Amino acid sequence: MLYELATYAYWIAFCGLLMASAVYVLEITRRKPTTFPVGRILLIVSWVALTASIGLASVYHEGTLLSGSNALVLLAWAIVLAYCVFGIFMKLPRYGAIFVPMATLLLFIAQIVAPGRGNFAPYPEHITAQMDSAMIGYHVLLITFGNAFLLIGSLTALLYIYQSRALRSKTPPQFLKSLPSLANIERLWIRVLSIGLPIYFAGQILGVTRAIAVDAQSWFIDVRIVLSGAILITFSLALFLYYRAKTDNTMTAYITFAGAVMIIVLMVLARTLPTGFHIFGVFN
Amino acid sequence: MQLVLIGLSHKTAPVEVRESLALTVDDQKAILDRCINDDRLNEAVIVSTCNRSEFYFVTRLDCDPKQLFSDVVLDYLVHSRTDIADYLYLQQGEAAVEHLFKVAASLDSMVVGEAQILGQLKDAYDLAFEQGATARVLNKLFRLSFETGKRVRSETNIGSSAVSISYAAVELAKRVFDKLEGRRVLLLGAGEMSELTALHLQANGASEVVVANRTLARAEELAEKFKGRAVEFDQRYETLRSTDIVVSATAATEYVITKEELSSVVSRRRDPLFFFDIAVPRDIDPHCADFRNVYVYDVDALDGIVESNKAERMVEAAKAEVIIQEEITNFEKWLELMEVEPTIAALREKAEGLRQAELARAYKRLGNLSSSERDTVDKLTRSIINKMLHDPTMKLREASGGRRGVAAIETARYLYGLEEEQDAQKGFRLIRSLLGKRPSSASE
Repeated sequence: MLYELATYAYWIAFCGLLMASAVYVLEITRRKPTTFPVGRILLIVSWVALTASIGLASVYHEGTLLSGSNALVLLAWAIVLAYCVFGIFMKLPRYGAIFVPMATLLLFIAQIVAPGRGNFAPYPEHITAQMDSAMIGYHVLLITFGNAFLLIGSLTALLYIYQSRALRSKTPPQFLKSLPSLANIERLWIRVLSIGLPIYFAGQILGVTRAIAVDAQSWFIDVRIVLSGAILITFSLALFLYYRAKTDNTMTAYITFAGAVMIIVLMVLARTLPTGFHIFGVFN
Repeated sequence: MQLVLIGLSHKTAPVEVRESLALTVDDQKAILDRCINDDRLNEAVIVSTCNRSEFYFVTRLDCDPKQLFSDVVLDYLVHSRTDIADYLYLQQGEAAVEHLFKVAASLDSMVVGEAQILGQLKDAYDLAFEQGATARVLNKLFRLSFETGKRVRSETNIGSSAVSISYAAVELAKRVFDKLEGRRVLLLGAGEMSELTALHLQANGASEVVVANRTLARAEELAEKFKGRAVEFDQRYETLRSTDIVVSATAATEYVITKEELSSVVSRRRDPLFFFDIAVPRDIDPHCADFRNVYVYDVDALDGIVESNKAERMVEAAKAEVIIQEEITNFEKWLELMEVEPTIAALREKAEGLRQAELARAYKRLGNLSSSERDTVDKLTRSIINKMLHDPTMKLREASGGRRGVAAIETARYLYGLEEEQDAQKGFRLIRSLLGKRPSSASE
């Protein structure tokens, strides 16, 4: 029963996000927001349904398995939450047409790569022992939110590059009018990075602390941990260039985007490379 | 009654003709007074702007609109009638309604989608209303026209894009800086075009205007207008360090901003630098745009944006037409509703008259009836009449505002013989007379 409810809630969330995406895209093509905030309501309903789905699935499985599929669902959940929360504090005109379809796509991919019911392979015993700590739960949560923020920031940086190029064109496309201004994009991009990076770093610290505590063998040369260090350095460099070196924004945007590529590579590696210390979610 | 529009606009008359019919508020008041005192006229509104002078009248059905206009308006003005007559247009009924709605929606404006016309229409209506020159038809018509104008602005993008070079510059600057509050503007050259652009930038929030001109006195004069400051032309690169937007319109034959000189300014700069080069020959070396945070727009680029925006407005105008048709339908529905109740009242009045006459005759024939017998007969006849008229009354109310509303009303009048006797006094046949519409076929 719980499993069925979780599945229904998941599909309600997916359909809600799909409809919200359509509304946001329609708004951007019409260049006028709807008078009634249909998109926002659909988004909130979808997020609540997705939260319920994750919660019910966790109860059913007696914990959340860190499979590739679940990681994507959590990431989509965090992206929607981050977008809604950020929307309270700053004007986010028309970004819904980018972030909501992105979350929907993640849910769709999650379904494609998801294993069937009961096909979850158990973790090896030594891994289960290493993970038996609240610290790991917080580590996963912080890394998930960190990833969500950094991906939102990177997507916004990509939008900055596009907008900056389009504005240079002799005949800027009409579509440009639908996009937020360069200054607004810059504000969102930098703020999201400035919040996401410390969250990501805190997640890393917790993971490393746990690895040291359980005396995990050669954790520091694990490919994924090295890559996550590179991600931290890349995004830190982007923020340094922005705040300190005052390099032009396009260069900083490219560096931010490079960081996003590394996050995606890491997410794929973490689920497909069954070696080293960090092997969660490989077994399905 | 008939609805008449007589007027001229930028589409029919050159400026020298339009200015001869441009009316001051006092002129308008005087003409409205003449309208009120003229028996042929029921209502009047005068719309007088720099691009149009239009007179909306609700007149008696037998009134010749041209003669009326001549008597009320042209006689008041000292101009020769023939001078203006060739440029005047006359529209009646539904065409006049459609024209007014198009004017309110800014589809008939020189710059399609401009916003001022709606305010000008409101002013014109307010004046006529205060003068007591309007009544139910023009009150409703003008209020619906304001509604049409608002709907067109809110439901389409007709007014959202700039259609002048100076506004296009502001629009582009906003796409980069979001808001212009706190942005600093440097004017290179003190020409009229750069002044106009700077004026728009400042009106949108730009905080400081600095003018650099080869003649410092002229720079100071212009800077004074914007409460800004003037600098020597040689100091332009230095000034660029603290500038966000540059508007350049000098008469120089060579570039006044070169890529080489600009490199030192932008090398340690993060914020975008925006150049509007509206000079011909160009003032800004186009290679300046090679710097990632520098945006350069020459007059051709701005003109291209304006043209594309104009084309977009025409697309939006097609959407506005749909809204206008909907509002015309709303006006027709209102007219129909105005006719239903008088028709029903007349129908009942006629039936009651017949009943009373027949009762009187019957009482005479029946001789002495007791009071209770008289009451019974009275109630019986009243009940028959009520029951007979119940269905037509309900059907008429249901039909009003629908596709067959006009036909139903007119058929009822014809069948019950209400046509001739009531029309003149009670304002029947509003739709047919005001909008010049034929009733739709009853078989529809």
